[in-house]
Amino acid sequence: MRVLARFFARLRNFATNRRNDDRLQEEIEQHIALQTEDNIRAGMPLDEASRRARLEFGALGSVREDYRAEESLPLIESAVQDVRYAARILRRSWGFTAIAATSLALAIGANTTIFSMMKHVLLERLEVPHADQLRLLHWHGDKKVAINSIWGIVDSGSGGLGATSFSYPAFEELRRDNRVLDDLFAFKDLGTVNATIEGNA
Amino acid sequence: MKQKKRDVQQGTLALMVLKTLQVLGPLHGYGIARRIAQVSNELLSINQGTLYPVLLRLEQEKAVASEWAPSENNRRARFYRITRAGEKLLEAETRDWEQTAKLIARFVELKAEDLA
Repeated sequence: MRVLARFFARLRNFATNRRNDDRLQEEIEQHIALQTEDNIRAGMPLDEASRRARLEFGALGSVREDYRAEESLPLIESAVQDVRYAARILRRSWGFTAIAATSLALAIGANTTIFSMMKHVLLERLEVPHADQLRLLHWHGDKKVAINSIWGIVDSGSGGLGATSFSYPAFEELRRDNRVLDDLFAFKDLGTVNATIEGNA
Repeated sequence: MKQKKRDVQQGTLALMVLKTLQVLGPLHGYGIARRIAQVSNELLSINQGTLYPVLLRLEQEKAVASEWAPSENNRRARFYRITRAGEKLLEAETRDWEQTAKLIARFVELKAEDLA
């Protein structure tokens, strides 16, 4: 609760940019005045009394600094200052800013375009009905499974093997005995092929 | 023989401030500083100015409240008083300190035969 109350007090000061410099200043002056009076009462001459009072109070600059650090949120405050500073510098050398901004814009634009194109072509445009209902079958067996090494085979932990590749007879059997899925299809990359379409190779 | 003056540990000053306000009622910064110097028998070397950030912090934590009021030299001064939350905080901190002090005392007095 205490920490929270303090945080909100500081946040409020930060947000409203409220500074109690005047209050601190008045408190400091009053403090030193009272100390000086006490010193005079103790028998010191005026200038000595005032000097000693200031000495006992300590360095004003560091007190003010500590006070301000407690008052607000110095971390955020300095971040805001940094941003302001950066903005000022950028405004001053606007040629540099323009080039930097343009190249950033072009790069980001190009990236976005390429990515959305690739996403559409590679990921979304599967030429099957109800692409969202597609499932990829995967088999997996224990250590004793007897199978030739095939493409895409992985060690499925605990010493067993698994893959998403099936032999063609296995696929045919799965397809014939399928009661669960609407349909089953298989795919394979062909490597380099020669295709003839309407007489053109 | 003059004893060496000690620096204050973090948080100690806050406890001293709260205790001073609890015992003596509302005081301005200078009054608090003077009482702390008196009670600590001048063993403590603090710059009196360090008191004000501590007071501000305690105020933000709602452990003390403050307002302007006329002071003994006919100028106005900021007077601080302890709040209910401050009393509770003081109680908790005092308990912590007593426990720490007891623990350290026990270790300092430790002799070889105690551990045998």
